[in-house]
Amino acid sequence: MSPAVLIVGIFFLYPLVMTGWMSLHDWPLLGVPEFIGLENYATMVDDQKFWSAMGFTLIYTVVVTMAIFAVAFPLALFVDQPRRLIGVYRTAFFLPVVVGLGSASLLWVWLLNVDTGLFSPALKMLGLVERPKALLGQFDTAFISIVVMVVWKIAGFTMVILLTGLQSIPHELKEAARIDGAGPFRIFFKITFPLMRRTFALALVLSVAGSILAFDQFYIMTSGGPRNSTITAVYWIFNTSFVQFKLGYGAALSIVLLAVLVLLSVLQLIVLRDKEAA
Amino acid sequence: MEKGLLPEGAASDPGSNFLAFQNGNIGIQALGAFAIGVFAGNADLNYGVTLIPNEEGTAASSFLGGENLVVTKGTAPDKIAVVQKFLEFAYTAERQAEAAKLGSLPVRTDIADEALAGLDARYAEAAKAVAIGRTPYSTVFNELFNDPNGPYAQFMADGMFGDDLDAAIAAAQEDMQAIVDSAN
Repeated sequence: MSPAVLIVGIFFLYPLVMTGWMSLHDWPLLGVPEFIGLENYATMVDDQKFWSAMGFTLIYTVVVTMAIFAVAFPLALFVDQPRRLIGVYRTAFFLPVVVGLGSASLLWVWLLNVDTGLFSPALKMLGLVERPKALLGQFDTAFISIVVMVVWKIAGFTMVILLTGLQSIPHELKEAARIDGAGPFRIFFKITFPLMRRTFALALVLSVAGSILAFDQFYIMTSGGPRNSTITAVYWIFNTSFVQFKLGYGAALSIVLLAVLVLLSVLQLIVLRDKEAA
Repeated sequence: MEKGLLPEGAASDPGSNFLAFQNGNIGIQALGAFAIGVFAGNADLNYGVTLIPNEEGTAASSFLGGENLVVTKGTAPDKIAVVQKFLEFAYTAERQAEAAKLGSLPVRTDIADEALAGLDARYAEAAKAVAIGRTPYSTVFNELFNDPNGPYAQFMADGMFGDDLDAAIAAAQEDMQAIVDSAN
């Protein structure tokens, strides 16, 4: 057996099968597991907290993915053009990507601190607010804060993916179009955009998968608050497994989340596949 | 809760600052008696201890928590006898006094005065809570009370920052009952 197969077997297939097996049990963290068939899946149907966590995760995924692309695509176009200090720009935009998500979250917790952070005291010093506002204390501002943090952290990565797509477009095509009298907008929508289909598909699938599985930033920055309004699907699975100690039920929730993720990824790839290749 | 009485940061405080009382900027805080032992190292801190009063100030209430001595299911009968002996030992006046010295309140109210003799007088005040306090006990205690996303934490936040205390109490009651029911 080749090492690759061995590694996939140990670190992917075995845990996957084990999770599936555990999901058919009442499996407490301490104590003896008991086989209960599909009971966990039946319980799930009425588990409103899980479905509301799922709903929140989907909303977060849509919002954060749009935000990331809205920032990353202009950045990619910006650093694609030959200009002075291009290396500095590329490095600067990519830099937050190499910070761990946990460390980045902790950094932003401090930036967002109402008394000793950056934003609240700055708003007060500038005279924009009378009292410092706890940005993580209300849902709206907490949600926006996390989206801004994630965009700051991830946009550089998406930018690099989109940049490879931009650079794989042959210059001759654009030149020929220009000679034929096409303006910059026409070139963008008729040549650049269609030829980046595959790159978009890759960046989109990565972004959506990452967002559906979001946990760290919510655990660290809001602890699921204010008042449990920012609990994601993975957060709920974590709570089920390691706060309530129901490992079997947590495994069943994980399997459902996996199914949702596979379904979403397949849908995206179908929508964004090359017409010619199909 | 009237708006503006609580510091802005309270709404997003995950509880990691709950000993901030000793910084001297907080007027009043609900804490366990263990804090008396923690604050003992802080000679500059001048504070008093009292029980949590009701609205009219005529009675007090308390929540009794602590560590448990537990015998697990399936323990052999010959070992049970030894465990029994240890439990009796742990509840002697001598051991209760020793635990008090290390910062734990004596659980035997009949010998509390004896066990607390010569210690910080604030312990004696806190020890009154043992007689009136209630301890909810459940196999799902962790889910009910300790989970930062659980019904108890949600209830406190709803009560402090929301507008409808009665609704918060009702919601917490329903949530907690659902957890208890699903555990059986």
